[in-house]
Formats: sequence, structure tokens, C-alpha cells
Amino acid sequence: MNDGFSLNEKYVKKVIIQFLAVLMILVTTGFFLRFEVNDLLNATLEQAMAKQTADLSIIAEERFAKELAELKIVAKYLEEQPNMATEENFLRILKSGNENVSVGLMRLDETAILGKVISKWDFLRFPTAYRGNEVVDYCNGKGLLFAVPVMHGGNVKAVVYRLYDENLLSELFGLSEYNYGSDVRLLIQERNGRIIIPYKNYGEAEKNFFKDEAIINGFNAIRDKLERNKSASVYCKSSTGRFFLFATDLPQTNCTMIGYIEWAAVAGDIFRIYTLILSIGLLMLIVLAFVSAYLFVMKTKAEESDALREAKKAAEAASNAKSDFLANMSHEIRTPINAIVGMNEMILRESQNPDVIGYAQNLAAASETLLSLINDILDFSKIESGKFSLIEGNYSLKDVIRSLVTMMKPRADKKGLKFDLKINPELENNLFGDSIRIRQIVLNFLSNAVKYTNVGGVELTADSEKISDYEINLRFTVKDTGIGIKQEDISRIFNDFERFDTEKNKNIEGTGLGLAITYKLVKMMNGKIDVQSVYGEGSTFTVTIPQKVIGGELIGEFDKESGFSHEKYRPAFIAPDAEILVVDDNEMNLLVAVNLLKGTKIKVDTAISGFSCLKKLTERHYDLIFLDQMMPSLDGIQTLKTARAMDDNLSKNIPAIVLTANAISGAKEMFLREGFDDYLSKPIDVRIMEQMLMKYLPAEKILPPPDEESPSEPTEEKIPATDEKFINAEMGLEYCAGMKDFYKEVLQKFVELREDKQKKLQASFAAQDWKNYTIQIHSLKSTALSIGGEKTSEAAKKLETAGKILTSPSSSELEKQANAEFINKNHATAMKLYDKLAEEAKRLAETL
Amino acid sequence: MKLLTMLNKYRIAVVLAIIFLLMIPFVTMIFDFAGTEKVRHEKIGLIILGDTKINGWNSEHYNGIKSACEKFGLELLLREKVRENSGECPLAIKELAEEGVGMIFLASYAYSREVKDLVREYPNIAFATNSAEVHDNNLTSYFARLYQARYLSGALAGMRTKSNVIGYVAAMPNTEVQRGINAFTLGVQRTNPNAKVVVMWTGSWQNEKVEAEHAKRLIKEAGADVLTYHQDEDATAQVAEEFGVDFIAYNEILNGYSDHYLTSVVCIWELYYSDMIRRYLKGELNSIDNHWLGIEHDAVMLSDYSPRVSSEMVTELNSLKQELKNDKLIFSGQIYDNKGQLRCENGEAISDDTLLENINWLVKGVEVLE
Repeated sequence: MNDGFSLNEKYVKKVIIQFLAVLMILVTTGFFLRFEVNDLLNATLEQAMAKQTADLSIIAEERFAKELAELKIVAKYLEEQPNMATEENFLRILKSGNENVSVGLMRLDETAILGKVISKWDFLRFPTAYRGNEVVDYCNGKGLLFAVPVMHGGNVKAVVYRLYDENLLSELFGLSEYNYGSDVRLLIQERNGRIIIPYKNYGEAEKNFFKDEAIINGFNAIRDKLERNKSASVYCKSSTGRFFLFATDLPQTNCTMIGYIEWAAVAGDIFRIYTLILSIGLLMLIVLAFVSAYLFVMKTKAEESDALREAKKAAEAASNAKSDFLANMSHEIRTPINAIVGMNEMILRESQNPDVIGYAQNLAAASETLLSLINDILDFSKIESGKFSLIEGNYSLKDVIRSLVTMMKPRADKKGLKFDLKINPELENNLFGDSIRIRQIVLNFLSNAVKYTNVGGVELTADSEKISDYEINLRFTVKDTGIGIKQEDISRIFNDFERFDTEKNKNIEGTGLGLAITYKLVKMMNGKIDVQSVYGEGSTFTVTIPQKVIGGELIGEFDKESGFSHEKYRPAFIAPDAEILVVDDNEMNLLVAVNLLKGTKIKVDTAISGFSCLKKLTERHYDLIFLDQMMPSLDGIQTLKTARAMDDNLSKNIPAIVLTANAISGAKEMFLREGFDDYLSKPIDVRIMEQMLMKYLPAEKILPPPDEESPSEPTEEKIPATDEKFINAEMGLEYCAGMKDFYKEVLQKFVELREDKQKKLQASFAAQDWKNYTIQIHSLKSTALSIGGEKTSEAAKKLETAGKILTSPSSSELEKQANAEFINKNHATAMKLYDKLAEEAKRLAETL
Repeated sequence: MKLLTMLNKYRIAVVLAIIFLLMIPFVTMIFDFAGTEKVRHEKIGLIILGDTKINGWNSEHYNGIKSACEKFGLELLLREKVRENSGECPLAIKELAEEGVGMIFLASYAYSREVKDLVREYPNIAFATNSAEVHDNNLTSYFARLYQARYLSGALAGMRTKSNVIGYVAAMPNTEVQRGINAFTLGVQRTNPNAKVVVMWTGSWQNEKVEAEHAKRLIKEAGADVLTYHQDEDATAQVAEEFGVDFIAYNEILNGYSDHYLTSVVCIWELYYSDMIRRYLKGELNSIDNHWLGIEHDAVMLSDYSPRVSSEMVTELNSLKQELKNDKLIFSGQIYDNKGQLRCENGEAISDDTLLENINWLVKGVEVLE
């Protein structure tokens, strides 16, 4: 947390720095832009001012032209009417009574005909008039002179002039009419720089203005510009403020009109563009801020999601580590339990002392509890890690209930509790679903009921509710008279690891996971659990699970007999010819395996490592191999792969079954993928192991176990045609190691194969092919026996014996004939028995 | 997500890109402002009759205008050896116009007549011509008051001649040439009322052979002992040197060329063209009809006198020059032409307009040798 915070702070700092950097760039750019725009605008304004100033020049020019035009009219008249009277008249008109205006007529010899003499030393341009040109000239102190020649043909005869006194000038130049009004200061100066015509209120301030160095430089710049421009304007920043200076040459004179105006008066409006730039800059800043904020948020989000991803990864890794740990632990725990269970099994088998057997049975029960605890933990870890999946298939509800009864009845009996069963005979028997987990769910309720009930009894009710033709809600109710659950605790009982009344229940075993697992399993099956409880009086757990119905068979009246008891172990088969290899790095496990298989008479070889396994495989042929997965240096998978690839392997394609305590779900599929034929979890359940051996060992090597009570001798030649019972189901079941599923499958297989086999038998019989007949009848003998068809098997056995004698080269002709006759006589009966057996097998298979 | 990661990765780049995008309008704005500044015509065209590499009128003008253009930083486009009345001048104008000149100097006398109509087709080009005979809104006459220098040179010739016959090789009887002859003659008469000026027309601005022939005839037939000329080149000077006769050159300074060289009538064309171009740049060109710079502006003068000119003569000439600078009008007072007609009365002066456009007579004291 602390780290995250400081990281964030650091990041924020970084972002702020970046933002400031960008801001600085922006501000710098803004300043640069401002100056650029400023210069640009001033330059533009200078141009505009220059143009406007040029207009001033034109205005002045027009004034001058008007003046000259008047004089020209007079000159023309004088040219045409050369007499003194006219001259005087016209001059009076020209003077128009103004005292500040003087008019006159000059001779070429610079003497006056009328008016006063104009000196060419005052008005330097005046002599140009003698050359026939019009003159506008200014003399400081004397005024502004306009002069026009009076012609005589192509020659100049005289010059007429009009001179304006200085104080009339600003009016004459129209300075007061200049557009900018009072803001502007206009004056006229000679081109040598002398100011000659000030505006009206030319005072001390203005004198100082012209003394300012910046202004002087400005006017110098203007003078330079005027070299090649009609008018010029310059932006100037002096100590008294910002100004535009401007000037234009007055045409035909030696004069320049100059002026200045305050910057603001000209620029005022245009420079609102500053505001515009500022606004846009501000807008840019805002956009930048938004973009930055957006990116910041985005980045933070990205980082957060990164952090989340990493956290998730870490959590997953931790979870995986937990799973691995659990799997490893389960292995570690199962290994010793394996030894305990195995050794205990040995004791149970071999001890004759009833006390010892009693202890061993207690030990077995404790081991089983321990195992179930581990299984709980494993289930839980699987569910938690999502690796758990339901394994659905067809099953018989009856079998499930029977196994529940088998499991729970002894426990209830042991505590002196009544164990009641209320199974609705209308219940559908053949269902589709995960029978193992359903069994686990109900078993959990039953276990709890037995566990928490000391007086009274436990009642299991099974019922169903039809949803559709193909689906039912299967309902189990487990009712006890136990301690009950407090009302406030009911909602919590399905929480993980919860146990209540810890004080009271401290002597009760369990992980506290049972109900949590149950709850999760029910949820996975879309079922629901209902709990009713009165504290101190008892509880009722009802679980409802939707299941698919396969076939219309009903469960019928439930046989309450428990088929399970701790009888003396009897092997399901013997295979004295079979030879198998068991590989495990744990010698105890090897010992257990060897001892477990003692009864089957299988020759068991062992190897303590993958390497010794590979060595042994090159020395001898085995029928099957059990291979432990968890071995140092060369594990089960590696060993198998190497063995399969070895050329000198004498047992290259034999079935390989992996032994593993690693009971994580998905492991089985993995092992099958890696090349194993099957999977056997440790601790080894001897029945499952035997079943596997029966499945994978070559069929001819499997023999029925020797009966302890020696099998009855055939007493009669004649096989009774009609016997009510053709199948000894118990026997058949025993051949199938008590596994009904297996038995059922065998029965079905038997029924399925009957037609074909019978045909072959009939064919051989008809063809008197005794050799094949003997083989076929042998097959019938063993298969019939494997499903418990004792009578049929017996009949077949006799026929087989006969066939053997018949086909034996050592037999005499007489013997042959007698046996052939025996076969001919009994074949039909045997076939009938075969039919009956098959019929009954079919029936039995259906009820199982 | 990928985009986001990428966005994060190039965050700075993205921000910069956005700033860049935002700045585009500003930059465009600046360029828009910058674009409003008007581009001025920065090229001046010159069309001239002869070869600017040969000394004389052509090289003087070319050098003058070239210096003026350099002073203002303008480009000068030259079209030389453009013959008058041959259709070459209009062609040259068209070419120059296409090259974007703002002003064209037509530096030979008869061009303006030839292209009078064409000038109107280019109202945005300012034309300037040294002939005052044609005017238009965009065609300005320019010339220097060379006649003032002619007057001074005439005064010198009057002082130098022993035979009282001064030979004058002249191109053709137009206003310019006759104005020059008249001023020269008035100058001669100022210092030597007994001397006469004998003029021979060559009929062309440049014709070395005819010029040389005429010069020889003026020496041999007319008995001239001082020669001057109004031609674009200096064939007359060569003849004078050959025959050991004093001569006054025109438009080129020939110091050291010959012992008989006295001085030369020159115009400071650079000054002149500078003034013209400045006026063009200021837009004043057509607001003044005639622009005639003279001796008072030091635009025209006699070049440094050769050792042949005595210090007394120099003093005399300097005082005459000062008179002119003080606005003495050469063509003023009573003036008769050589046919006896009164051209100017006492108390009158011939106006500039007349001098520029309308001198179709020769002053009394001038003889024309056919």
C-alpha cells in the first residue's frame, strides 16, 4: 500500500513536471508569437500609416494645384491683356483682402512690376518660374510662395506670385482636417530637418518629444525610407510612450510633412488580436490540460489494470502453489496411509486372533476416515481452483442407495442408532448424472447425522418429483434426532471451514469442509439444499437434484440387506501363470502390493526405480506393469516412454497402469495421454486392483479362485432340464470383485455374445468338428461360470471333458465313441441351459 | 487496449503533435500577415542604341544607370544595339515587360516616337525617355541641361579660336541638337563676338565615316581650328587629333588622348538616373512633367580642362559657370535666329517647355555647311 502510494506520488510528480515543461514551451511560444505578431502588426500599421500619409501628400498637392490654377488663370489673362489696370485688378482679386496674403508681378530682371520684390535668395526655387515653370516654395519666416510665369508665346515675360504668411499655413495645408483629429500632431519641415510649420499648440512637451533619442532615430529611419518611398511610417517607442511617426514629401516643394500619433490611437482596435491570441492560447492550454488529464487517467488506468493483472497473476500463482502444495501433501499423506492400509489389510487377512482383527478393523476405519478427510481437502482444492468437473454417466440409483446403506448402517449400528430407510418404490432407477458425487453428498449428510446424533436414529428418505418425461428432481432427505443447529447458524453451515459449537463438538472429527463441498457440488448440479433444524432436537437436510431419466425401470421394494461385511478376504481370481512388474521407489509400497496380490497367485516382480524397471523389462516378459509416477530421477511417464521406445524390451506392448497418489482431477486424462492404459490411485484398493488385473491380464491366464468349500462333484449325468435358478448372482458378483457395474457389464456381454457363440457351437456340433467344439464349449464353461451360471458351466464342463477325450490322440476309439455319444446326447440340454442362463442373465443385468 | 498502450508509450509525442496541430493556425496566420507585404518591381530595363562597351554616349549611360541601380539594389536588364525605327525597340519592350521590369529607360532619342502607342499598353510600367518630344501618363521625359555645358564649352572655343571659325559635327537638326548648337554659339559669342560656328549634319547618331569626312571638310573647307560634335561616338575627335586641331569632346573624358583635347561636355548620368529611379520608387515620376537637372545640381559640367586651356581662360569659364549657377538664363534677352527672326525679346526668357520641345531654328552666327 505504502509502495503504491509513493509510486503514485512519484508518477504525479513526473506528470506535473512534464505538464510544466509543456506549459513552458507553450508560454515561450506564446511570447515569441506575441512579439512576432506585434512586429507584424506594427509593420502592417506602418504600411497603412504610410499610405494614409501619402494621402496627406495628395491633399496638399491638390491644394497646391488649386492655388497654382488660380495663378495660372491670372497669368493667362495677363498674357492676353497686358495692361496695368487689368493687372492691378486681378491682383486685388488674388489678394482677396487678406492682410496675410501678398501678391505681385515680377520682371525677369527681378524687379517688381506690382507688389513687393521676391528675392531669389529667400525663395531658392523662385527663379525656376523664370524658366517657365510653376513654383511652390517656402521660406522660413517669409511664408509659402506660389509663382506662375506670365508667358509671351513660348517665352516667359513675367512671373505672378502669391505669398502666404506663415500663420495661415496650417489651414492651408489642411492639417486640421486630418482624419485622426486631435490624436495626431502634424508639422511641416524642410528636408534638411528644420521644423517650419508646427501645429497650433506646439509647446514645451512637443519640443522635448523631438529631443528624445528614440524619436530622432525614428525620424532618421523615416528619412531613409523616404529616399525611395513617397511616404513612410515608423513605429517608435520613446520614453514618453509608443508612437507612430510618419512623413511624406510635399510635391514640388522642398518640404516634408511629418507627424506622429499615439500608438494606441492607431492600433487600438487592431490590437484586439492580442486578446484573440490570448484566448486561443488559453484555449490551447485548456485543451492541453484536458489532453494531459485524459492521458494521465488513461495511463493510470493502464497501470492499474497492469497492477490488477499482475495481482491476478500472483494470486493465480499462489493458488496454483496451493493446489500443488495440496497435491503434494496428498501424495505425502497418502503414501504412509497406503502403507498403513496395506499393512492393516495384511493383518486382517492373516490374523486369526479376533482381538487383533478387531483392532485392525478399527484401524481400517480410522484410515478410511483419514483418507476421506484428505479427499475432502482435495475436492475442496479442486473446486476452488476450478479444476473440478462432474463426471456424468448412466447409473443405477439402487446401487447408489445400497452402497450408502452399506457404508452407513454399520456406523449407525455401532453407535446404537436406528437407521431407517424410506425409499419410494416408484423411484426411477436408471438415471444419468454423477453418481459418485450424489453418493458423496448424501453420504456427507448421513455421516453428519450419525456423527452428531447420540440418541435416537437417522432416517434416509429417497423420493423424486417428475419434471418431465426425461427429468426428475431427485430428493434425499436425511433426518436425525441429533444436537440440531441454532437458527442463526443455519445460514452459515455451508461456509468454508465453519464448525459450530466448537466447545461442544471439539471431540468430533472432520475438516469442516464437508458441507461446504456438498453445497458446492449441489450448486454445480443445479440442485438445492434445504435445512430444517430445532436446536437440541434434530435436523433435517433435504437435497434436491435434477437428474435425467434413462429408461422406465423403477427401483422397486428396496432390499434392506446390507451386502457389506468384513468377511475374510477372498481373491476374485487366481492367475498363477501371470507375471507382473510393480515399480515404486518406496519399498513399503512394494511390499504392500506384493502382499495384496498374494491371494491371486500372480507372480509379482518389483523394481525400486525407473532404471531397474527398464533393466528388468529386458530380462523377462511380463503380462502387465504397475508403474509409480512419483519416483526420483526417472518418473513413471519417463520410464514408460523409454520402455516403449526400447528395442530389447521383451514386454513392449503390455498394459501399463500408473500408480499415483496424485489425485488431482485431470491427472487421469493426463496419464492416459502420456501412454498409460489405466490409472490406479494410492492407497491401493485391492478390489479395484484385482478388477484391473482381470481386465488387462490375458484372459486365458485368469482362473476362478479355488472355492474353500471344494466345488461339488458332478453327481448326475443328467442336467435337470428345469431349474428355477440358473445364476448364482453372489458368485458372479464375487468374480467381479463385488462390483455390480462390472458384473452387469459381464452379464450384458454374456447375453450379447450368446447368439454368435451358440451359432458357432451349433455349427461345430453339426459338423462334428470336435476340436473347435471343445474350445467353444470351454469358453462357455468359463464365461458361464464368470457370471455365476454354475449349472450351465457344469454342463459345459462335462461336454468339454468329453470333447477333450474325443479329440485326444491318446484316446481309444471306444472312448471316443462313448464321448461322442455323450456329447450328442447332452448338447441340446446344454444349449437349453445356455438359453435359460442368457435369459436370466439378461433379466439380472436389467435389475442390477 | 493496444492503442492505449501505444498512446501511453508515445505520450510526449502525442502531446507535442497536438501542440503542433494547435500551432498550425498561428503559423498560417503569421505567414498570412507576412504575405500581405507588397512585392515591388525590383527590375529596371534599359534599351540603348549602341554597344555599351564602346566609349561614348552608350557606355556613359549604361554605367550611370548601372551605378544608380546598384545604389538602390535594383536589377538592371539591358537591351543594347537596338536600332531605331527598326521594330527592335517594341520587341525589346515586350521582352522586358515579360521579365517583370517596373521601369524602362528608352535611352535613344527616336525610340519614344516609335513606341508611343506601345507605351500605353503597359500602364503599370514607368517609361522614361531622353526625348521630350513625346509625352504620356507613364512616359516621362528626362534630360539634363547639357546646353549649359555647351554654352561654357562655346565660351572656351570662342577664346581658343584663331581663325574665328569653329566646326560643329552634328547628327541631325532636332530640338536637342539645335538647342546644343544654339547654346554653344551663344557661349562663343559671349567670349568672341566675331567668331562663327559652322555646322555639318551627318544625319545619324553613329556613322564614323561620315563624321570623319565632315570633320575633315570643316577643317579644310570651312577653315575651322576648333572642333566639337554632337554624335554618339568620337570620330570627330580622331580627325581633330589627326589634323592637329583643338577639339571639345562630348560625353566622354579623353584626357591624355590628344594634345589638342580641351575639355568634354559631360553629364553625371549616375546622379541623373539616381534621381529618376528615386522618383520612380516614390511614385512621383509622372507628377512632374519634365525633370531637367542642370549645372546648379552639378549634373552637367565641363570635365577637367586640359593643359591647353590657360588659367585665364579657366578663371573666365569659372565665373561664367557661377553665373549659370546663380540662375542666369542663357536663352533670355534679345535673340535672333540665323534667318533674322526675333526668337526672344528683351526682358523675356525662352521657357523650358520650348527649349525641350520646340527649337527648330539656329541662332544668329551659325552657318550650315552642306
